[in-house]
Amino acid sequence: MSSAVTAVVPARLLSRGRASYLFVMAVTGGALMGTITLGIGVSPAMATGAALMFLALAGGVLSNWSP
Amino acid sequence: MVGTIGLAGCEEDCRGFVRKCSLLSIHLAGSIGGGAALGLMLGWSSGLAMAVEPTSTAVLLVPICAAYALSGLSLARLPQPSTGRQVPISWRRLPPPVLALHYGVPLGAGVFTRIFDGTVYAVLAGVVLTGDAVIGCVTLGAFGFGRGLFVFLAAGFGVRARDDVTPLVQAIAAHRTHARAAAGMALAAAAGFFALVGWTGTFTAPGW
Repeated sequence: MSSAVTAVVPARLLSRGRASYLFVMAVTGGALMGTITLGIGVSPAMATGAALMFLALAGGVLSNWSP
Repeated sequence: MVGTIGLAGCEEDCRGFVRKCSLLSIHLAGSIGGGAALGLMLGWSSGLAMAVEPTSTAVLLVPICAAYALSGLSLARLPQPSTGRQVPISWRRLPPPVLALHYGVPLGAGVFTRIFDGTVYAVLAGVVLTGDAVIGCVTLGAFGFGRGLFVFLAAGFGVRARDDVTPLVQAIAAHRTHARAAAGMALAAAAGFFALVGWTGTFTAPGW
């Protein structure tokens, strides 16, 4: 069994400008979703748990691309 | 590990739709079980040591999600602690149902093989911070479900004969950088969500 800590340098898919734009847009979208979620009366605790679960689901799907 | 499509599904044993679906179901169940078991243990054990209240959990997850989002979008370099190994090659000699289960459990747990992107770290940090066995079980169970479901759907619909496996795996693997970028965007959205929840939650204080 071996373990490693690797500084991952992914192949660049997007230019820095476009990647930065997508980052800001995604953060804004997430904040908007948070506003809507809390706005309909979901508690912060429930919202945190649900977001964690959706992130895990997305992470699970995307983990299939590991080498 | 997209090559699981062949191993868990039908590369060695392609004897009909029902047989294939049975193997893929076993793999999916193992994947969910592996993730849920790890989440249960992690949530329970961290709950013995600490339990951060929900608002603080959300606040603490913001920098983790944001940092790995930048990494996923190739805007920053971050260390990715990971085992540098895959599942043992000797498992390929196991009978197909046992093989499917053996592949499902460690891959569903996510941390026993190579880690592809930062979502795993964010989710693990969230489970540890909540210190709740049920939340840990459901959250990492969802991770295993997502991982196994992709294999189930790809192999279920994309593989009709043994020769279909390699082209399908190669076609999917060609989009690795897109998948990393998608993970980065999911993490960025989570960072925004947690920031908003954390900021709002400072005015209320409900428990889990």
